[in-house]
Amino acid sequence: MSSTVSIKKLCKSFGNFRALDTIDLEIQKGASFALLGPNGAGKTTLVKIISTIMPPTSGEVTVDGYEIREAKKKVREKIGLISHQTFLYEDLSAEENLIFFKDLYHLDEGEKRVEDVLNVVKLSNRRFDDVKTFSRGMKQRLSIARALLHDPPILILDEPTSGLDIVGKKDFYEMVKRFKEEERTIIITTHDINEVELIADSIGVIMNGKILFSGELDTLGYDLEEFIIELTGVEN
Amino acid sequence: MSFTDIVTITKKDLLLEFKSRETVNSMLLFAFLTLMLISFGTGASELIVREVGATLLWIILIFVGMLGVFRAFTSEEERGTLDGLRLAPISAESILMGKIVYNFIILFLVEVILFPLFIVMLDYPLEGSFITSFAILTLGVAGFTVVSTAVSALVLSARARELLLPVILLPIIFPLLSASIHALKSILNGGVLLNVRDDCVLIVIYIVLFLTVSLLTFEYAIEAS
Repeated sequence: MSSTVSIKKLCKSFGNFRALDTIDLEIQKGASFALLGPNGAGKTTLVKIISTIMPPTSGEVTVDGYEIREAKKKVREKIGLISHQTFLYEDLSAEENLIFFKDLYHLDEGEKRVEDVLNVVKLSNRRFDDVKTFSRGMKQRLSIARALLHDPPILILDEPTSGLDIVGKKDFYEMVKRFKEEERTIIITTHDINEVELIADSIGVIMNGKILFSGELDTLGYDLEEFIIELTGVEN
Repeated sequence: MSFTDIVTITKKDLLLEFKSRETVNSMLLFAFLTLMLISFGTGASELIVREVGATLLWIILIFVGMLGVFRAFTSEEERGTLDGLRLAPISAESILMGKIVYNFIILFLVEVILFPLFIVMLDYPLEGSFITSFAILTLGVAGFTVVSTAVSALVLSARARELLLPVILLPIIFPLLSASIHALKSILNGGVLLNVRDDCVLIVIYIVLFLTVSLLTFEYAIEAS
């Protein structure tokens, strides 16, 4: 398998504080990669850099062969980001939100695509309702529809189940299962070990801006939670 | 920079404003109340109105403008939607231009209502052309929109940005405002376009200069820090 995300000597500093310190990481095409680490470890910073929202201080990041600083637009076309923030406009309806993002991604046959993704996330019956009337779970489903609009081969899930109830989480895992079947590359940041075991086939452990471990989940040989605690000294 | 992307951003902001009406209503209310105060303050003095009318109108527009212009970017950040824009495969310049066009439309809407009210409520002894006065005011509003939108984007990630905006904006915009006020006063009091040619040229130069600088620097301003 070839790497779809390749990170070499990546550093990110905020003033004197080094949030990411010489990160090297390869994520294989079609993999489900979980990035684990305690709060403030650098997970979200890394995700923001990969998705071109934040510029790195130094180092090289390529997504599907495109360098993130040189080919921002190409990288953005390859990535769908689902975060605990939905990026949705609460005063617009589900359909108005998706039409806006469809236009931003310059999609041909966009109207049909909007219908398709609304069906995928089972929100067709609420398409004309304003997002502010939606539950947290519905907003997250609509956020998934937004991220899927341009059919990206790479999905980045940044603590996607934060704030979701059990039903919301169950719906979400079912959708992730579908993404895996569609052979999309999935990168997820989470605190939930059960979520990692359910979704990921490879993991990276990050702490204080450094990658402490990265590799296949089934080669660990022992309990993931114990492994994380032993590696980081803290419960994830 | 793409025209389609600019239209998309502007359309979305107008739709949001149309549905929520949170910015335009506040701007119009503030403008109307201030105009009423000024109307009581100046009384029926033709001399005072002629001398300071244009300046007072611009003072209202500056505060109303800052009230509205600043929302275009801060509301994106407060809603958590700015990252959604940053994630889209569009240029940062398109986002800025979309916001400038939206801000101009909103301010123009306020101007359309405010300017006739200003003439009526202050009982302005209009000697020049109403249309030309309106056009001169619109040119100034366009300049104000370009500069204030660019500055509001620059202070977006700053602490106490609401305080920082006027502190930074007013000195920068001073030459443009003084030219706009001078031109408007001249036309309102019977002048013709030829009398205010230099002021108009200055305003246009200001617009071109600020548009160029802000388009060149906006990508760095909007990047998450």
